[in-house]
Amino acid sequence: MDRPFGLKVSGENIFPLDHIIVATAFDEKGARPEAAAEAVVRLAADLGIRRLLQPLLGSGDGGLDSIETAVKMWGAIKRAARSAGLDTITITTQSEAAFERLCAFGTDSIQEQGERQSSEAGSAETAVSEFLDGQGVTPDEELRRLLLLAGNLGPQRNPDHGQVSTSLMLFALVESGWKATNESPLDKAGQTFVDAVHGSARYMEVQNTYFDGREPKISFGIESPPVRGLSVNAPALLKTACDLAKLEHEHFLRPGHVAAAFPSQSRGRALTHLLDLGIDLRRMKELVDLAVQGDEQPGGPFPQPTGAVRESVHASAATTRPIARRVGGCCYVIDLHPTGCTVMRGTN
Amino acid sequence: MRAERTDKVFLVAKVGQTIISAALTDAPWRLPGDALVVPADADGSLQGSLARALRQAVASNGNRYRKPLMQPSPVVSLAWIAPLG
Repeated sequence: MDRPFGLKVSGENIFPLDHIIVATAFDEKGARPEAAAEAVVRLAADLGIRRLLQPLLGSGDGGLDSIETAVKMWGAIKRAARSAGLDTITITTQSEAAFERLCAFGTDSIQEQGERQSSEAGSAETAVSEFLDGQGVTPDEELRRLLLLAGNLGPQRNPDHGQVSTSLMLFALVESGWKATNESPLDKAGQTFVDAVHGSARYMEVQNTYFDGREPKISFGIESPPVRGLSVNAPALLKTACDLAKLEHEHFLRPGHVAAAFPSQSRGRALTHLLDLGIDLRRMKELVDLAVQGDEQPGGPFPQPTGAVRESVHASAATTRPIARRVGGCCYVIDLHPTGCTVMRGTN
Repeated sequence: MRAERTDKVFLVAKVGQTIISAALTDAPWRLPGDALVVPADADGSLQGSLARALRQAVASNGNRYRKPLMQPSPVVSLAWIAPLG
């Protein structure tokens, strides 16, 4: 048996599946799970299947190394998926190590996507959302609005523009008039950053230079012209923003996360703008770090809360949490496994 | 049927219009999907661990779903796949 085949499931079934596909990783050339996986995806497309559940092939009783199999199948599935057009492909495994390796491809693909010169055109919002999908986060309404503006600013800088860049996101942040509306320390740090950019004496000069002397028209309409994707540096900025959102256990990415991500960028045209504007990036980065730590700094932009626990070490999370609650609620507890000790920083 | 709590699903990437996820599970048929791939041996026999687990899950759901073995291929029910191994 060298080719997968599909069996249509009929009648009343225990599980909500339309098809069973039988496939093997082994042929006359030996173990080739990647070839089988690619053939399965193509067969699924031919059968009109939209959601495919694809276990690792040959790594159970077949005796193949599960991580190696996962890596090979990932490459093959990714290649085949581009043209197959299925909605979802779920690669399943019982191996924790193989699962972790597959999850790590989510990080690897960021760089790939950043360097990809896609020929597919979509809105700036779509380009960013596709990237964020890979990070497991979703842009909130306010960020979507901001991305519409970024998409509209692009052609005003260059009619042949084709990418969502860090510069466009920076100017969209400032020109959108975004204001932090919640109590998130990260949003406050982001607000401080945006205020510093907008308040710079050189802001108009830098903006004029970027837009070749034309004053950009601010529009949040959905007439954004198509873009090819993200610039080379945009994924790094968005990745940092996603990491900040995840630190807050937040599924939605907000403009505040993006603003707070700018000070830690080490490259990109936006960095040049920020240096030209005279922004103290080191100070801004410190504010973001403090926001992440849930710490407060006297004289800083965040008021010192009453009853704050600066930092304390306890035997275990079980003892730390009640203490934190007594002084007004725990920000977070870090488990110093395997010693069992915990460190608690800040409360609010 | 929704995945049980012990299943972990992670969205890895979006390639074109396809979302590719990874799932840590011993029962992939519980995940949302239209088709399940069942790994076979080189000769096509369904003796692997997933095929065995699927048979067991089908069997544990009782006989009410069972259909005659002579049902014409390639149309099968999930209960019917049990004797294939």
